[in-house]
Amino acid sequence: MSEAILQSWSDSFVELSDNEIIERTLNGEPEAFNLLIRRWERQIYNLAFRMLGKEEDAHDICQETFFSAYRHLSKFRGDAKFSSWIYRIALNCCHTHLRSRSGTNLSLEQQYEDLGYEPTTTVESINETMQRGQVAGLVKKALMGLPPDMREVIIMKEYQDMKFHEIADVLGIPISTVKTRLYTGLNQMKQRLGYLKAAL
Amino acid sequence: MNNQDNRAKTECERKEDLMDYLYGEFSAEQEKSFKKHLLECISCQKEVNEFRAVSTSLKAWHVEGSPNVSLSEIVGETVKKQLPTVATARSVREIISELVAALPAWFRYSSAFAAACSLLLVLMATLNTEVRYDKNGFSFQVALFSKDTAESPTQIDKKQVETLAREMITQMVAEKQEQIKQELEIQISALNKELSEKNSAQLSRVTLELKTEQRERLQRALLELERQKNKKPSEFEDDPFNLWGSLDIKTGDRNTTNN
Ligand SMILES: [Zn+2]
Repeated sequence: MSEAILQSWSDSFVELSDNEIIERTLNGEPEAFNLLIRRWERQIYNLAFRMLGKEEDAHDICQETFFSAYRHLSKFRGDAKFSSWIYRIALNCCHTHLRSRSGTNLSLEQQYEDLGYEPTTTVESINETMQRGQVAGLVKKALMGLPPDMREVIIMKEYQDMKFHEIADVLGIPISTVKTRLYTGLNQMKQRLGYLKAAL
Repeated sequence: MNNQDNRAKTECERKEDLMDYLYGEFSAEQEKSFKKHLLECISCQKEVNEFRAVSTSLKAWHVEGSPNVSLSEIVGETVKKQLPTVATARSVREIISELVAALPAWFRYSSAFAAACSLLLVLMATLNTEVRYDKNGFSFQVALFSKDTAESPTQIDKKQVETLAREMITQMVAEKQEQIKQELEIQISALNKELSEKNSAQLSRVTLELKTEQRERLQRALLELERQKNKKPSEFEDDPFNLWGSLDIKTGDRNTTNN
């Protein structure tokens, strides 16, 4: 078959919905799955990168997620959203990865917290006085110090721009739980950023 | 700002509403109502400002690198397994159906593909053809003489005729293949649109017609070969391409093998 024919074939998929592509993949056109990968890999990579903080880990999770999705594609229910399903798989992979990481050492801000110090720096002042690169460094550190279930909610809301009901769908928890988790997470971020700035 | 004072303040219970407000998930009416609350609730005011600042900080962190999902590792292996690597000495039907299975659905039901199939079927059924389908695509070798005819007691230089025939058929097949390829490519975009309207009925009909035509051609070819076996050897030497007439393949018009 010529390149032109193959190209034309792959173009014919562009307008298809996720569910239609899945149907085709399951009906003997496995190459169709490539399109789903291209459609969602960026989002999954970003999510994994922020959950784990490392480029190579994000690559691994991304590969693992799509491989797992492909293998279990027949278990995907057509009434669900593919995006929710693939996010859930990716987060499961992230949690497995986090559990396998060797013992967590007590972070600086944790030590401050244990001593009962209150941060004296406000987040507003961090944004005003620090370079963006420095802020990014603080944010990454503070976010990595959060419990993973708070971290994932913050990531999905702040970076992936998802609605509360979508996050609830991915995590399989009530919408109100998503909101309270986000509230607690943001509070902790505020505190941690303050500690980290003070420790600089 | 005095931290002791902040902690002493009574917390507001509307944490979830605060989240809806902050991320714009309220309806217009709900938002109006919450804004009213904000005017009189210092705790919520303070938190709105703080959380907005946290949001701003969070946006400073950008993702490094890019996803590099290896398609071949996920899908490629499975695709490869579905395609036959080398398919020799198998029936024409078997090979064609395997080829058909490897093609996308819309292509399978296209009339251009049916035409290509019909040509291949007739060619391969009429001549003793060896077909290969591997990663390089579709290729076939043609042997003019089947086992039976090769053993027939004729005096002609079979090797010579066979070589000539081989060359001619290979050339003819290549030309036809090229022609089909070009036609296919021209028709692809149109076929794409027609896909939804196509159905398998059309292919079944063509296949049925093919079977009949193929049978007839085979019978004619066999009869002709039988007749020529009984001819004197000299007749072959005078006109070695006499054979072509029996197969409806004329030397002067190689491209039209299939009416
Ligand atoms: Zn309030």
